[in-house]
Amino acid sequence: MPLVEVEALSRRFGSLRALDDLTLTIEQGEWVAVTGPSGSGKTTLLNVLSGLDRPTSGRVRVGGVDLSGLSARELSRYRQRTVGLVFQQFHLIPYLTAVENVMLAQYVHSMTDRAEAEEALRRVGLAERLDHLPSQLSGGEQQRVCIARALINQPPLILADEPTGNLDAVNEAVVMSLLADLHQRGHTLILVTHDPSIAVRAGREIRLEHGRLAHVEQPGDLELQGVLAELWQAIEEDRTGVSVTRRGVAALLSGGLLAFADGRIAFTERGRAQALAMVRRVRLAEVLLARTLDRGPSEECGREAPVAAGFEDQVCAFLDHPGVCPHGRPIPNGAACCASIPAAQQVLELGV
Amino acid sequence: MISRLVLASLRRRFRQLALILAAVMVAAATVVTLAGFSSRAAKQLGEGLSAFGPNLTVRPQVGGPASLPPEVLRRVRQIPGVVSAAGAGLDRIDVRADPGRLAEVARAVETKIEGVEAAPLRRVSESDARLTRRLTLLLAAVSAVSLLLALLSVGAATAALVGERRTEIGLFLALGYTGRRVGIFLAAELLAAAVLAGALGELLGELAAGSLAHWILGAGGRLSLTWGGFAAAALVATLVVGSSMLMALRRVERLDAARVLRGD
Repeated sequence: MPLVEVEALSRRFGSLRALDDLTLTIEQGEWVAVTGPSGSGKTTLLNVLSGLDRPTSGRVRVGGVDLSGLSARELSRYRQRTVGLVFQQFHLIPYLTAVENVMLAQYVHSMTDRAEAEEALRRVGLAERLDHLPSQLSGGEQQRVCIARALINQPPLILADEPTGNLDAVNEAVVMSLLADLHQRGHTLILVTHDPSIAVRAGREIRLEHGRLAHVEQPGDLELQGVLAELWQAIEEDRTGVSVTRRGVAALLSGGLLAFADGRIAFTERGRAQALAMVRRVRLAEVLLARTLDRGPSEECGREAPVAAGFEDQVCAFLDHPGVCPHGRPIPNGAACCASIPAAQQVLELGV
Repeated sequence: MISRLVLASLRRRFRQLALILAAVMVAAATVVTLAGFSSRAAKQLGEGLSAFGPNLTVRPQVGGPASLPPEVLRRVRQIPGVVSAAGAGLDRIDVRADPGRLAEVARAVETKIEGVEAAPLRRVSESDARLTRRLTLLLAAVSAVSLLLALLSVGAATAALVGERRTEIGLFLALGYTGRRVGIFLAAELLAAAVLAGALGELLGELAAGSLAHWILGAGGRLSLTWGGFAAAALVATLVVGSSMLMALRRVERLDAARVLRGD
């Protein structure tokens, strides 16, 4: 059964139709990006799903509970138990420390556990910032406190409204990695964004225009980018078995990123450039997270969410142009880096 | 957690809460001054009643015996409301009765003692009562004005406090707190200010009442804190802060958390 079922949902503000007869479902454990131009109803949809707003008509069911039939008190209870909210403006209480801001979400259940709140902050790399006020934290750190607060009660549904909207490239990468981590741990993630580079990381994109479903993207760009990176890594490690989807390879072939000739599949020039860029973004993210969150590398190389496209040079400079990822694999150089791409990676071919 | 929230917020919003504290304190002090001065005036006037002289005359009834037996003087003194009674001669007893109960005392004398008639001396008794009444009315008017001003200023300050904290309140609601619970957080802050204001108001009010009594009545200037004074101050503080809180609570419950958090 889907976690979220939206059926003929409409929300009007006077004569303005913020959401207009919207129907969609979101499965448990899915990562969905809601995109669209300003005023398309993205945030209104998120507000209705969080129980902060009520539909004018239609039905919204989350975890089998029909939100439109709940009283204000029941909606509060729903938010306590089911939803974790991540805001663009962080919304931390300015006179409480980081750990107290997290405990505030625990206190909604009339109890607090400081050790648990501290652990949540450690998980987002803020072990050294527990007793700092929000004014003493950077934007990225404040957003990480916000994420820790959203997670402290283990809600099954995370709703994030432009979570990287106020962040620079480095902090965007950190926050996106944390969100990807949440998704991998089984949380259902609905992320509102107007940034296509953020949206492609989601498993599915829902595009709204004038409150209506404009276009639902199928799993695409991110998956294909992942296949490219996986292929590159396989070649790098001289592996023969490559775990990629047939559909992915087929899409890359039809997209002109791979070419089939003489019984072999090889990267085209464009495919090679994209694979390199993707590998670089993923490995930079690994270095960034290992340093920023002060944690060891993930078990497998290439599993972190990549740095946002277009920001990799900034992140690379911020990290002082690291040569290898935490797993010891080379990080391809970018235009801003001094060295050229290793000669060994100039020609890559796949046997079939 | 709630104490940490309240203390941190009190420190942060010192100016607004100081304004609320001052308004409640002034209202409480005025009411305590009224109560304190009234009780001192009543006591002082009661103690000085003899200085005003008799306000009731007891005589034998027309057609009765020409003089009153000494037993009558003793019985008159026993009647409630009689402060003093002296016989200038056995044909008349001069009585000083509580001015507020003059008619009642006169009736009691005529009912309980046969063959006598009691005649109040209107001008003296009315003068006593008028003096007390005017002072009380004056203080009551001042108290009412200060209470009204406190209601208005605390109401405005509380509304401003809620307005300034819309985002914070919106966040609480988004985290799953009910409007009532958010109201309790705000009430805890205001009540902390109100308790302090009430205690300071009682102290200032009693000081003012003592000074006023000393200035006008020439005595009763000693500072004495009473439970009654504390109760009056607490009543004023609760009334002022409570009514403001009710208005604030309605605003909290009407607050659209979604719009507030969006920054609209």
